[in-house]
Amino acid sequence: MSWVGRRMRRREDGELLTGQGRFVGDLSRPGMAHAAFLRSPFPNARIDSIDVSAATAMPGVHAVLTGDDLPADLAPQPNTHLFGERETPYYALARGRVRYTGEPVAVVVADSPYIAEDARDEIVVDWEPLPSVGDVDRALDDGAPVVYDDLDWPDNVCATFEKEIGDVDRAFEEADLVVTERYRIQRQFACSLETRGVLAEWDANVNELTLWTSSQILHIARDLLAQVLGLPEHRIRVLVPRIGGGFGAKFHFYPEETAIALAARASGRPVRWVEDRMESFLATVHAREQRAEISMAALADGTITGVKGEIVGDMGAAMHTVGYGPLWLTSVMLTNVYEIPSARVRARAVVTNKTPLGSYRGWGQPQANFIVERTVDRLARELGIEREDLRRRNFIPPERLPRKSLHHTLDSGDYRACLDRALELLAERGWRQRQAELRASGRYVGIGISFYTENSALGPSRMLNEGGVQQGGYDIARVRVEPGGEVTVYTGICEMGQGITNALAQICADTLGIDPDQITVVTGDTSQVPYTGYGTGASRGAAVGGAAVARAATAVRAKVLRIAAHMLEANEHDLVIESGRIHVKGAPEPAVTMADVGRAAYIRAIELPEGEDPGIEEIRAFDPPQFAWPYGANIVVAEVDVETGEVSLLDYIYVHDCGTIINPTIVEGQIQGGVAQGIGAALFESLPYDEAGQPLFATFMQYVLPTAAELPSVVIEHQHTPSPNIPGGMKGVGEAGAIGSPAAVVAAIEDALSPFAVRINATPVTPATILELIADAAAQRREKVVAGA
Amino acid sequence: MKPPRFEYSAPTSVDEALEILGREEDATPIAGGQSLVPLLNMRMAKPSVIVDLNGVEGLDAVEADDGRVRIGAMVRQRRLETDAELRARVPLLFDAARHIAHVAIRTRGTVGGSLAHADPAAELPAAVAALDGRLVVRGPDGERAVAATDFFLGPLMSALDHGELLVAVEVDPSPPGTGSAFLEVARTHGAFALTAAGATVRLGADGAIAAAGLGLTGVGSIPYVPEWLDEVVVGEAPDASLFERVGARVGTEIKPYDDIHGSADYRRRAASVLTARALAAAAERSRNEVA
Repeated sequence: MSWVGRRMRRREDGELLTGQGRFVGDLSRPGMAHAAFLRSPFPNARIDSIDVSAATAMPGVHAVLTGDDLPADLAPQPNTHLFGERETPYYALARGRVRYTGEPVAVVVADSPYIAEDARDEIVVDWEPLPSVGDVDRALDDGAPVVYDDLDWPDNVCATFEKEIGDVDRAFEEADLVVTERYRIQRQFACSLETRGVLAEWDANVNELTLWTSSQILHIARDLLAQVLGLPEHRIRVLVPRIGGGFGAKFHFYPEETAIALAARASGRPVRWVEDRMESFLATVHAREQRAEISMAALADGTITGVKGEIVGDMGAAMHTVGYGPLWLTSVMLTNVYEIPSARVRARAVVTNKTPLGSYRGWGQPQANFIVERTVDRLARELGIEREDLRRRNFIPPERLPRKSLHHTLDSGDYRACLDRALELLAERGWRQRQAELRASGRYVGIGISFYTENSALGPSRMLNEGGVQQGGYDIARVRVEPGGEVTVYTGICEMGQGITNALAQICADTLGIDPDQITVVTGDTSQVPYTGYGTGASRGAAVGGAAVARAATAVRAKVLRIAAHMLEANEHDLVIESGRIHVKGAPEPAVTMADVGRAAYIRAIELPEGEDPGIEEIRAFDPPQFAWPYGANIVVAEVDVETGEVSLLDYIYVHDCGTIINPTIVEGQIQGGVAQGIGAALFESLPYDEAGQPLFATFMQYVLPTAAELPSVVIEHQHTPSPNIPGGMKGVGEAGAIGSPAAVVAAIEDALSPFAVRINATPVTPATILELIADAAAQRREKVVAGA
Repeated sequence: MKPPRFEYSAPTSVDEALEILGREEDATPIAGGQSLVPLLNMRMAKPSVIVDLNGVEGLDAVEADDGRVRIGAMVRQRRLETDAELRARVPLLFDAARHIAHVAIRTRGTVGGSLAHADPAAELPAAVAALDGRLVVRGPDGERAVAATDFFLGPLMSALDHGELLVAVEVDPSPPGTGSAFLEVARTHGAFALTAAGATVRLGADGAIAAAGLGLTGVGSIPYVPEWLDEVVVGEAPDASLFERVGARVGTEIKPYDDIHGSADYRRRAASVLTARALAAAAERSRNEVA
């Protein structure tokens, strides 16, 4: 029986649940000092001067650094996703100009975080506030403050991306129906339980830097830091201890990582900084915020013939590590899983005086899904076709996969079977009937449907480079048999709470024929683990990381069998490995164990075949030939209290296909967590700014995260279409839950409110907005009546 | 988020605590710390001395005698939920306590701390006001009792003077047959109330309303208690239209704030609805009690 596919408890859970996990904030080094950042209180300002003398003079303060103290040749913080945008240079600490509230301006190094904050409060800055803009529509107006006026930008548009397939104009001319909708998706961020943190230590004797950081991009963080500091990569060792959640925000390389490294060098001490909760709301990249206008053309029978999309992304004050990648992905996902022959999309990345936008689980796809799925619902209503029927009619059928879509090539699967099963579950759970009964008794209960696909297993390196990404998409794994017969796997994928070490152990166990508990998976240390092209994100750990492990383990297996064949005086092709015992297939005796082979490989070379190198250790890369495309259906049952606007989620059905499943328990946890964040997007989370770019949020009192009390237990079913492009067939699932959930939740609310005929095109949908929507819809009906009379 | 430097004192008696509070310019008592510690960490509060009440004798008792219930200031909010006798005497406090944050916070947080903090969206001030409670304040010149409706002066502002300490809250026990309800709209379970209404209703033998109480939070700078309630409801039949009328009138009288979670208008509408529902639920419970 194989280990892949088996439910297994995660090896780290005992440690984590008993509070033994060691995160950056738990680490200490001899003589370590603590850092605090002074951040800009203004959305846009010149810094005329900074006086740090009082701060520097305070007892217990070891160093205070400002932009003036940065090395003259320090490079700006890099962006690795170059999609043809204007450069937006920013540094570890602001150099004479800040462009968003929260931008780091100075760092204090002191004996304790308390003293560091005391000293920070003594820094005197002579600010010259400048006109600023906190709203993307206003940023596009003529005469709006130009965020990069000092770089002579004519306006605030940082980049424009356009893509077109098919004959769009003809599709719209010949359409029986065209619908046009405008959507607004709010600013959110990947708010993890553990905030970011950095600990840096310089060894001046050898000019070597060790950096512990709560990051999803081990080698990329190292390389970017090397690039910024002008050091060779191998002079920097990056370590990632336990991570308390990343969700994309830690896929970025931050100014604080550079600044803390410099602070350690300047102070001659190890320096630790742990982002506090308040600064996390401003200093960690934001995500999601977009305005969109979309039109769909359809024939009367429901065939969708064309889509046009215009997306504007509020990128905040700079292109962070991934540039406007998520916005780009939104634009090229506007055909979803539908066979739409023509499409024209335009994405504009616009800068404002707000925290830079970056990655968050789904990376632009939740927005695309919301925009498309809500518009499909609208189309269904206008055409008088059931929502599920309209989707069925337009799904790319399995026999036509793989198929080039708007930009990517969707790989495999049966979308209709997936949606049908979800609808079957809805029927089995009696919701259609219960909805009718509850409605009859005066309650407002609705059902929402969405269907998603996900761009996962990122990705083919050449395709990434062609698109402008200055990173690879491959992964490299090293697998070693130890002298005692145990196995160690080294991967560049980071363990950030998603349980990847378990999945990789299960893959390796199957390849080698040993138990997972004989396998140690080492992560998070550039001095030990092989390079990863892209890092831990894009739902690629299990698929790309896993395939690399399988390849390396396959090579290890070949050597193990050669050695065992020699020891057993058998033909290696006749041998099998079962639970660590190697013998001729069908004849359990004689056998050698992995321990026997390990001893031969390392200690008793006399037992090795002639010419065989000692040691058993193999390193292999995997670069996927294509992306993988998992998909799934979300069905939500929601009830609305139309007097208070409160929403209750009564049921949540999720049927999906992510290819081969390694550990169903982990997959279900990923889905439940992704759905929780999607519900957060639909109902709760928002980072509003005023017109000038001052944040209207500061703590969890404003940034509302759903808790267990608000979240339904998701009913999950798996379907299995192995990826044709990934050895092992895994497609990836990390982001999936976050993608289709906002559209389904909002659709359910809209359905619940169908007696009022409200249309919901913006998130989050709060109790207050629900009452406003009902009132607005009533006012519109009255207007119509008046106009009709 | 580290507090600035402060002195710390740990008195063991109320007199000792009062002595420090009277002597220092900006001493702040700390009870459960669930509001003060975040304010310290955000450096929004910078007291010179923190006077820890956790070791002070005699502030954590619940006494019931002579037709009154006296709850010591240091009684943990959690006790309002777990003390069956207290619940039987003042069920509205039980109903309200369940909406205060989460169990962990209620286990640390105190009744007196919440009342003295006077947060305009907190539950206990509204509940105590609905019960027509009295806050027992001790200062250098002895003890005084302040009616709840006089105690709360504004957001985070109370009738406590410099050098005074809230030592207890007193309420009348709810007579047998009293029903209560505390209903709240919040963005998430345990978050501060967008608005909330606490109500008590006792039906007479004739089925008409014999007594009622009502208090709202999240409807302005202080808890709202309609003075006209008895006049409007006592002697009336407890039907939905009566309670909706009360709710509608409450909506016109309160002066709630706008914030990013909802407009003043939203709060007004929600407060009207919750008022009507809380009164109806309390009446229903009274009916069940009597039956």
